[in-house]
Amino acid sequence: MDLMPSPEEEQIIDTARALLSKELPVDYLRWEKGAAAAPDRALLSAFAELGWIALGLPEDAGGFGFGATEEMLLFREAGRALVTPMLMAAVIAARLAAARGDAESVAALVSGERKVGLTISADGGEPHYVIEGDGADHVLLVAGNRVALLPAGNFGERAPVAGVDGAVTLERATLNEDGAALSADGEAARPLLRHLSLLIAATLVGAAEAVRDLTVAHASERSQFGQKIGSFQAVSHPCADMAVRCEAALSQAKLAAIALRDGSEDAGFQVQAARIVAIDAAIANASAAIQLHGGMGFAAEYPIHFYLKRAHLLDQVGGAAASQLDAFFALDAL
Amino acid sequence: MNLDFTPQEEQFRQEVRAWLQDNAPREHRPGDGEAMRDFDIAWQRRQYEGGWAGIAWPEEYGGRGLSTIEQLIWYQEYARAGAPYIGVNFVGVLHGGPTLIANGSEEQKKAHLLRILKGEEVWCQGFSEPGSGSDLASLRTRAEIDGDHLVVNGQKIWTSFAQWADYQELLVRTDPDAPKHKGISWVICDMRAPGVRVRPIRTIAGHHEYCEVFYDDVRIPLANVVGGLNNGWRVAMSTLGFERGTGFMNEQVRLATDVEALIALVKSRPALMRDTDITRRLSRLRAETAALQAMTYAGISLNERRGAPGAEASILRLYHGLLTQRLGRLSMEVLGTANLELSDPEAGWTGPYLYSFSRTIGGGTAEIQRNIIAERVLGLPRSR
Ligand SMILES: Cc1cc2nc3c(=O)[nH]c(=O)nc-3n(C[C@H](O)[C@H](O)[C@H](O)COP(=O)(O)OP(=O)(O)OC[C@H]3O[C@@H](n4cnc5c(N)ncnc54)[C@H](O)[C@@H]3O)c2cc1C
Repeated sequence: MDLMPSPEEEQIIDTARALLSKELPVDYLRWEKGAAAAPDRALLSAFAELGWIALGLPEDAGGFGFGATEEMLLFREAGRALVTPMLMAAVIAARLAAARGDAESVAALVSGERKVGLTISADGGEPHYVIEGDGADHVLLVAGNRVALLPAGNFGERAPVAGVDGAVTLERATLNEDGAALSADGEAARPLLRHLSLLIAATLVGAAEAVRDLTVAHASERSQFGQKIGSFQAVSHPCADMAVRCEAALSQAKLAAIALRDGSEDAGFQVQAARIVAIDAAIANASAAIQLHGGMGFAAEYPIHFYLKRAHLLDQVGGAAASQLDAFFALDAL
Repeated sequence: MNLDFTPQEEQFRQEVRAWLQDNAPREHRPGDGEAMRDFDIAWQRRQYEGGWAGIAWPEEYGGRGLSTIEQLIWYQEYARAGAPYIGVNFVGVLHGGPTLIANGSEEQKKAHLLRILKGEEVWCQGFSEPGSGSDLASLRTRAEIDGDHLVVNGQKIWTSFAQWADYQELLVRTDPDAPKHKGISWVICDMRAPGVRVRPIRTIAGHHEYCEVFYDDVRIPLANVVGGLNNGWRVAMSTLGFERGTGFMNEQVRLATDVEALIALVKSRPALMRDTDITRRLSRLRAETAALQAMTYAGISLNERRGAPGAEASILRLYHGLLTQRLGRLSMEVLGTANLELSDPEAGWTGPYLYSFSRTIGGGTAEIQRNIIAERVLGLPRSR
């Protein structure tokens, strides 16, 4: 039993962290020309080349055969860097294609040639919200118990709308049917939804950690009343609570990733728990972070709000917190 | 990263499970009085005879010399078997003994360790004083050297199970002129020595768990100083490290059992099942309890790499305390009118609910844990 990353896992973390902090610094300027023009898009091919999309796919399915643990650690870094959810969509789309035995699609996805947006709808009904569909040729649909990969052309009446998370593009659209390229329903969708939840949990852990770090740095720098604000307990204690939430969410995400990788019976339980604690950590930490930054925290030029908004966005993908809690409660004890 | 237990560890688990199945007391643990003490001592003795006391203690002092991982397996199985709370043996087995192992002289180890494991010596912890709680280093109980003895005068308070204890880990001021952290010594105090007087105090959960202890010219041999005269602060920090770290492993594991019991109760009552406020709060608690277990694993993994528990133990301690309180609060809502009946602090629901208030006070308050996390984990400036 060991929850510390192995040397190979460390290497994945280090590579990702180094690349992302250099190429995708979290700065509002990154999205100033609109989300579709953000440098994330241009880097998707580079990520694909590094093997990030194929990382966890089995080798016989065209992947690199790493486990869910490596993917979890990678998406934690992606969460810190607020990488476009197109990366996550591509990873799940590749899994779907692999499960359907569509080697051609797998190849197009893992090479980064096929760009994938993300679509959600409440229980499959209208409207559909298309996230990062601007510039995507395919869309991963996650609705109720269904996961499908559709050509972007399957959506009609597409209308851009201002989104809460301004770091992604958002459109309302109607699903025109379904010359669905690839689709998984019910039981067949379950492993994909589970995997998606793990990646979401990992991303949210990264977000929770990023705002913790920004806040600790700010509280150690900023002085008022002749002292660092971090020496006021009304500041330092919420920071401590952030650290506690990070530790809980990270540990649980690790445990869930291991359970998923190993095909343990409790994988579903652990992943759902990871998602629940991670969304709470991300939203609570970002909220506290805004408060502890004062006026800066409320300013669009300061990056904390992006994390809060990304957390709310991801919460809607594959079932929001309340439905996660209901489903988790229904599970039997381990 | 992995959750694999080695074949030896799995084998160990099977042995533990079988033994607990046959030997864990089935009868109700008395919550107070001599009956409680006798029960706790008898159970400690039975564990020792079965070869399960001191799993991670060195073999030369009667332990098994195994790792924290085996210790964790023991607690997992212990909780699974519904084995009773450690009670009066908490201090001796979980932090007094480990402190002696880390800091004691050979003579001190020989004199006490085996007897602690066998349930022949009950220990208590004399740290807090009426004027010194969170600010422990301000303690004033003084000890003057007289030949080869210390002569102790002063008072301790909140000393758990002092009325049942044979020995005490006692912090005294041996150099009143030194800076406050530098004039303290950690000594072994014989609770039967002349001049020691104990007055039990009742807790909000209804039991006489802790006490006031008065010292009136109590003579303690200098040979009972652990870790060197005036070096007591460092020794005390090692004691608190054990208390906040491995000492709470049992309770961390146990929480999952309690959360599942409350979930089962709610699932058996359709009216409660329709109350999404209750079911969702309980669901969230279930997820966080899973996370607590993951944090326990993560903590052990870190310790195995680094060799000692660190300030991160405060994260676990705080998280556990807050979760336990939320469980208690929820149980009061779930129980309905049945919550009017008081149970023991370690059984049923109302006793544990009341007891849960102590979880963010004893062993360092939640505020002190947050100070530690802020300063030592996050590196924030010291609070004032
Ligand atoms: C069930 C139980 C068993 C115990 N058993 C033992 C035992 O066996 N041996 C023993 O020695 N002690 C024992 N204690 C005592 C325990 O360690 C102390 O109660 C604890 O350390 C707090 O000290 P205090 O009671 O003096 O409270 P205080 O230190 O007076 O604290 C009062 C309040 O002020 C807050 N506060 C104090 N300082 C700060 C600060 N710097 N920043 C922010 N907030 C602050 C505290 O968090 C608390 O909320 C036990 C306590 C309980 C509840």
